[in-house]
Amino acid sequence: MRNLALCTALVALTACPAEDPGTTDSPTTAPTTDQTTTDTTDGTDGTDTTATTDVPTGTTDTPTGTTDEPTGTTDPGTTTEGACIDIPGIDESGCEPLATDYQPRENNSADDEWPACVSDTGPYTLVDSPPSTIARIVAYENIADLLWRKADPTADDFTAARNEYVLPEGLESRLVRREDLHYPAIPEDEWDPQVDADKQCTVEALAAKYPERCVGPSGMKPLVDEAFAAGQAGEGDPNIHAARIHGGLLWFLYLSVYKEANTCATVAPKDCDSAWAYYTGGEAIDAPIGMGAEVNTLSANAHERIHDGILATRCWRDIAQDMGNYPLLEELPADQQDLFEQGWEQLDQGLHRGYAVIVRDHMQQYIDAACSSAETNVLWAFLQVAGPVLDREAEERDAAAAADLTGLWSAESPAAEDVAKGIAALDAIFPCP
Amino acid sequence: MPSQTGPKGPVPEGPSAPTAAPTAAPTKLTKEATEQARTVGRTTVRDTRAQATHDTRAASVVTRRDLEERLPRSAPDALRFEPGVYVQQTAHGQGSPFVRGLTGQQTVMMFDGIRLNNSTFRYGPNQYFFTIDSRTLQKLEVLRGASSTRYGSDAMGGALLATPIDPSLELGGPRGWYGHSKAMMRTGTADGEIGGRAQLDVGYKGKVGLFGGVGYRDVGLLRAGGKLLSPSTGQPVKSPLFAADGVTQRGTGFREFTADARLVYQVNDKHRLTLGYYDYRQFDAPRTDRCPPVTAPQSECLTYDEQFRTLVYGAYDVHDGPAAAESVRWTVSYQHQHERRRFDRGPDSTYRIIGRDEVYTIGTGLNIGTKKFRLARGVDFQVNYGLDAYFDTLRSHAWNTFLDVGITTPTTSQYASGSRYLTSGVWTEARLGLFDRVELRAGGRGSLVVAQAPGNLDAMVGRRPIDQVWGGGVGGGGIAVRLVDGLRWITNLDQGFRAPNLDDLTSRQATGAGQQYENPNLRPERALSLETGFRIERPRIELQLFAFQSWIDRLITRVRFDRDQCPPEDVVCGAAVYNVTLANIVGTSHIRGVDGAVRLFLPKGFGMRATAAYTWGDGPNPVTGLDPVRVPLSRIPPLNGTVEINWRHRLGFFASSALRWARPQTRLTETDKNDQRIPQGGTPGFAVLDLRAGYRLQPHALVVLVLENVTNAAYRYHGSSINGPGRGANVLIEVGF
Repeated sequence: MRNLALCTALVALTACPAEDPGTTDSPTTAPTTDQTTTDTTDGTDGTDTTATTDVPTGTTDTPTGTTDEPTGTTDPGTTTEGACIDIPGIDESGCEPLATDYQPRENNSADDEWPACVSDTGPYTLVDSPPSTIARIVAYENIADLLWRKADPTADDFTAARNEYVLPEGLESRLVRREDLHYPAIPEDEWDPQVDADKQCTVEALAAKYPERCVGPSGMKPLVDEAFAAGQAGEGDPNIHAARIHGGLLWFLYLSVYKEANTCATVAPKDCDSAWAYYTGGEAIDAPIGMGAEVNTLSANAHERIHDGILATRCWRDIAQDMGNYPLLEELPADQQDLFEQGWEQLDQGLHRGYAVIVRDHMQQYIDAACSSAETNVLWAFLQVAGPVLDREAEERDAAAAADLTGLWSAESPAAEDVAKGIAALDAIFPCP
Repeated sequence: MPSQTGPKGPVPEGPSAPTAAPTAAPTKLTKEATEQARTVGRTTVRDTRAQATHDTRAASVVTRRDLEERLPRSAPDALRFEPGVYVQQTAHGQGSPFVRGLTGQQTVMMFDGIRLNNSTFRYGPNQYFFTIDSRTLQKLEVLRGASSTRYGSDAMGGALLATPIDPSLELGGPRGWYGHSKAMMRTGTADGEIGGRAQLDVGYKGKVGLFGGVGYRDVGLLRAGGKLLSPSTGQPVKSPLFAADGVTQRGTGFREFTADARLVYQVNDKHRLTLGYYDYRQFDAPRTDRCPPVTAPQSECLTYDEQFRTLVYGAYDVHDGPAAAESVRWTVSYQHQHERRRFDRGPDSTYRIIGRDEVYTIGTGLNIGTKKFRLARGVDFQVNYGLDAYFDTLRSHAWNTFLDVGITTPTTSQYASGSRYLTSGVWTEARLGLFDRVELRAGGRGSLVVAQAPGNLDAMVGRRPIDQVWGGGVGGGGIAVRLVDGLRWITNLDQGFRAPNLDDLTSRQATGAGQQYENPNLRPERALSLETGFRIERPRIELQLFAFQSWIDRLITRVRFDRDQCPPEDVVCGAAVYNVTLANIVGTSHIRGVDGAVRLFLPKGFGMRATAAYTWGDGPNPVTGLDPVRVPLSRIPPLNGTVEINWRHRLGFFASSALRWARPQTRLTETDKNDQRIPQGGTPGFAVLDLRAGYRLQPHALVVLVLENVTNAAYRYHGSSINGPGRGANVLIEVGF
């Protein structure tokens, strides 16, 4: 993975060696071919480049992470005009699952390493009754209709959307306690003994002390609140506020799928259903709403791989049961614990890529907007929220490329070329679901 | 009024105790007025034995003296020593008495004959009996078992009958006027309570009397003996949230203001007019299990900003009337119940959800008693009959306020605003006495209940309009046989019913068991209550012991319902972690048990009283076809009881010790298991010891000290959000003139 990332981060469109599956915890990519190089004249601050960016164009039959040809230049200090760069579409045709992945779409999982389970033959099977999460995703859709799926939402739209957001037991109620399980857990000796293990971020002092882990209260909540308030007050550009809310809520959904898949094993089996519903909105794989719909529109493969990951955790939950009872992870033998980690990791990889393609799409829109001298600030507002979410994982996979991305997100109004480089870096770091 | 203290020495209890003569009482007063004159307006209340109004039923009475010496925190708290009563608390500023396993809307609350239940009384425990100021009460009576013949809808588990203090109606001084004032101050260490009441009792020539007062108290966070441990996990129970000291319970405390005035005009020996005004205003009372909920940020809180009840009524009483109406009591009342709830996350909250409900009730009740007709030698017959009607109109609003931008928008209200509800009936009850040995009782009621609520067919709301009428009849009867002097065998068979109210039919609210949705298709539930037992009333002992069984058809209880039953676009319904609705359970549910009390009147001023109650309830599984076929009923109290040992001296000193105990309750229904108020595995048992002492200098002073929970036990009444108070002292000081 690291080799591939480095290669593409430099936007050197040469053939990159395929990853050795044995060296990564993500699915493999097929060898890249037919790529041309890009002249990386500038790669520093991402805004003041004046040189032509020789990114390739037009190829769609190669793995993502590359652009094919230079399409224009960027004036110093501007990002909204004169930067027409063709960005190739997403292509994951070369991506292949790991041998350890759960693959229900391939011969009903008969050929993979996973034992037979309830997920093998088809749609997601609920552990319990339909989860309350579904209503939160419906609320997300309602908010989307009010704010970012329409132009210039009014202050009343923001108020209506915020009413959806703060509904009892709704999005806000979960967002304010959301943990990012990618970060180290709060040390147990600091836990509030009156609070459940998975709700420690409801303790204000802990949320303040561990802001990365307690990203809901420390990061998402202020961001979303401020954007709603600004929109309601009619301050500034409403589309920017809407974009920031979109970014914040998408971030929440992305982390929630991952979190619920974990607590399905460690806290409550029905959380598997929540993981599924946070992603699909409780709908079938071919007609998801919420984050699932956004991923599916951009990459059906990534969408299906995420769904495979969700089915993997559900499959594990089915396997790790005892006559209808679901023992928690810590009570299970090591091999079953390992199997859970395997499925959960599969889901994580899918989610990274799925989330990345949404970010990537907005980056591409940014470049297109810049090309046509359209407004880019709304897209950038989204990206400044949604983009840094991937920094931690990017840093783990490829520190250099991650640094480029981090630098990009901190820019005020980057040049299209820099964004294009960002796309390349993103594709390199997160090439496959 | 002269003091009633007698010669030095212990006060003998019971009927052998000398009954102090009302030396200053007017000679032409009625018996009741004379009694009032003897007892009210001073710090002295010297009951001998309290008689329940319903002498041939399972009933018990809390007297004014009990209230003064036990120092309960509230009217519900005053019932903790009554057999068959178990007081649950969802919040410190709330209390809901369970009577034979039922509470809230399945019991009826009456104040001076006025029905307090209205159409928004919700399923399960509620806070409304707390809105009776115990400092205004002369007595509290608990009638156990179904009693809808007399008290109408809701009286399935029993009736709670509060009787206020009347003006004393003395002859007065040389010019005919009299006046007594009283100031009382009370404080407690467990919750930092400090408060008081100023009271006035004035009158003129025994004809006109005014009794009234104003009270205030500020109650802080409640300290418990410690955290409760779950019987199944051994881990501390997570609700309520404790402060860092491990004993102070977050989400407790409140403020309270009360005012009352009672004007009595004794027209003559036969006729009396009464005007009553009782105002209760409670502020800032958090609902403990939601302040915060166990899964929410710790600043989150649902607070009852305002819980008000205003009752104004007039009563016309006749005594010694014509044979067909020897006694008459007619009341006309107006009651306004106001509730304002606030949900937010403390000072940093960016939004606030407010709900406000107003219930306006006008009512009337007529209770007539014939004279006791002598049908034959040793055979007498007497009939009571009457009617009652109470009509509610409801206003309900809810809104969100976004505090960071100062924008407020309406949201779906808890009830369908504009709803109306009538509960009414005519009733009669006859008594036949046979040879001073047997008393037969039989009666019936015809009821009419009307519920109307506007619908809101907006897909987001999806409330169906309600236009329901229920009519029907209930009956009951009993027999009391005097086996020997002072020993009676009593058996009663009474029906109870409860018509669905507006809360059942239209409300949407967060409950302890989950987000509750209305069920417009509910039908009345009906109970048949059989009790049999003995009452002993002897000079040295009083005893009542009853076994009972209630068969409840179409019991209304909470059941889980799937989200696909939610209104299509109602994301609140869909978002709830656990949705419940009320449903009539097909089949018959049972509540059975034994309850009783014994009181001993011992020499040297000593006395002892003990109570015990065991209740067992089960009903059909709400989910048809699911095992087990029958399941426990929700929140049935465990085996519980009390023991009090007291001593009194003629000089006015008194002391007592009191033990309250309960066995664990581990029989839980599905909704109980999802209720954060109930520890995993059930509620542990407890034993709590209180010590009391005091001095009464008649009529000028009363000082009472109660050391509660002297062992500092961590305990909780089953179904409560809060643990009981930890070790602490409560002090009452009264000064009267």
